[in-house]
Amino acid sequence: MSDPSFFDDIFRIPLLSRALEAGALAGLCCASLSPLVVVRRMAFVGDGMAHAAFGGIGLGLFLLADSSYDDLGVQAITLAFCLALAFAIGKVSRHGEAGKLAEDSAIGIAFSVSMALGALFLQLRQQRNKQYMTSMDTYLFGSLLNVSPRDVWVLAGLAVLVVVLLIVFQKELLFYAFDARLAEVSGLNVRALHYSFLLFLVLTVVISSRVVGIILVSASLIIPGVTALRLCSRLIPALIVSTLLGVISFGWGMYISYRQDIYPGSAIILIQFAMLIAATAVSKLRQPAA
Amino acid sequence: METTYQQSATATAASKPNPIIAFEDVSFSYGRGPLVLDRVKMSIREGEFLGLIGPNGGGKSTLLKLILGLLRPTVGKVLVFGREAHDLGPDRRLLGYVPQDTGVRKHFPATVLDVTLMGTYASLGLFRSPGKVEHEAARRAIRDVGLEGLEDRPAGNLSGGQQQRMAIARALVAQPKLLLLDEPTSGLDTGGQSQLFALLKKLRESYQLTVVMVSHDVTALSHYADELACLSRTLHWHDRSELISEAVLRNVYACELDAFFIQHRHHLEEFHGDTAPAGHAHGPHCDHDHGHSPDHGHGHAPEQDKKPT
Repeated sequence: MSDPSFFDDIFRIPLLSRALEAGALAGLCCASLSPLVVVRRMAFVGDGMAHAAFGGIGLGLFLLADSSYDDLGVQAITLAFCLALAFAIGKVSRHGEAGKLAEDSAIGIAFSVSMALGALFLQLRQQRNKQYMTSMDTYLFGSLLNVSPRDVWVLAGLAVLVVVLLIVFQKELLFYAFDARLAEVSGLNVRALHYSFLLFLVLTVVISSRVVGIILVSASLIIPGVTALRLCSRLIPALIVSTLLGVISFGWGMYISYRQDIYPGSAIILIQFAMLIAATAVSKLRQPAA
Repeated sequence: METTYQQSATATAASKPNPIIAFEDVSFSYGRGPLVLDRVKMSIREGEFLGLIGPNGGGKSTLLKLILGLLRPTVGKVLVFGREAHDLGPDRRLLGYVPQDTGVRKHFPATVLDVTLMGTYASLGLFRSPGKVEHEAARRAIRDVGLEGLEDRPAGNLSGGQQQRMAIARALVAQPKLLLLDEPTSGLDTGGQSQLFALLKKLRESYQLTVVMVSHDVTALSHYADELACLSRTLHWHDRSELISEAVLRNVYACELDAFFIQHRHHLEEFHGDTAPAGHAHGPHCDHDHGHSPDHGHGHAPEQDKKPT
């Protein structure tokens, strides 16, 4: 490791280039949704979903004997588990209608029960199979250096879908984020919008967290969006800035991680946080003039 | 037809055509809960300004939601533009709605122009962005509500009163025939309130609007509204000219307004002495009374009302 050239290594070591591609794509997916997640006050939904995925992973590993985290079956079960949860949360919380459960409570319950179930299922499987299993850390922090070409293609497909959704439905999403009830009254199909947005959020969380881990997904769904919203006063610029910040933080973070030999997750989140501090300072400085 | 209907019809221009809104014996309850609205009949004709007052929990918001088609009546029919409210189709655009909370979060990524343009989204349909026509209409609406020059300001940076005007502009840009306002004066100071009423008066003429306003501000409504209805599960009509009179305030009182109104009424009737105790002792009692006797009509309460006087 004596002064390796990162950029040379990218081309020499496929594992490294795949990690970088996967990281950048996961960052793109999460960060491009981030401004809407933040504005719609769904930061906790993303976070809850990311953790709820753990319940799905546990269930998948328990149901499919001799399976590993990488198996498609486990991922399909995780996705189904999260979609079912998201649908339940979405149904409960669409308007925060009186008499139903508040959204944050619903997510809090789903999130903690899922984590508990996930841990329980993993333990049950361990007792049944008596075989070596990856520690829980892998699920929480992802396995960036263990990315398969398939992962990269799946993430690329997701990135295209997310970007298309944001471009095609930008005005509807803006109105929905502004005031869902008002959008409904004005004649927009808010129900369809609400569930599609949730669907994309869940897809992003489940697919990205496999690669970069739950914690990094939670961070990337919130911090780039908050940062971009400090800098931009319109939706499209905010989406672009947030996406760029996401991709840059992943690339830069992984570079630092490789050079300094520190955890990529730590590096990426701290870079995102530093960007947020800088953006806050910039917006404070700009305020008197504006 | 039914008496309440006729009262309202004779009180204003009876020559006008079909009602824009008609409630035909509408009752509503949430799930299996108690009745929130009980056999409400009303009709609002084109060009009218209806003020809707009533105690908290009296069903005002529910009534608005029924008009907006967000809820369906448990019994009866709500007709808007002659069609059932929940099945309006494209005519939904003709309904302008200004919600109670018009506050925009700081850092929300939209300018005043962006928010106003939202009013055009439904008519644009999917896959189309607002074009020149929509931008012109939005700028006109912004000008009409007196926010000219603030088009490019982030929406979250406006004051409360300005945000409310923006909400009105957003409703107006869709060229509605009917404007529904839910407690628009609640967040404003006295100056802001009278400005808002003056604005509505102006807009009503230039946009030829029918207006339904839910408000606590009975005095202001009595000056600007053509008709006043008090909703406390059942609906009571008051003619505007009648309202200022003592007798009607007693009727308003009879439909159990909250402590504020009770004080207000005493103030007007110059019973300053026992305002507070009467208001305090009476309001909750009336509420309680009403909640437990579903058939409690209009006639009983005034008797109680006279006691403190």
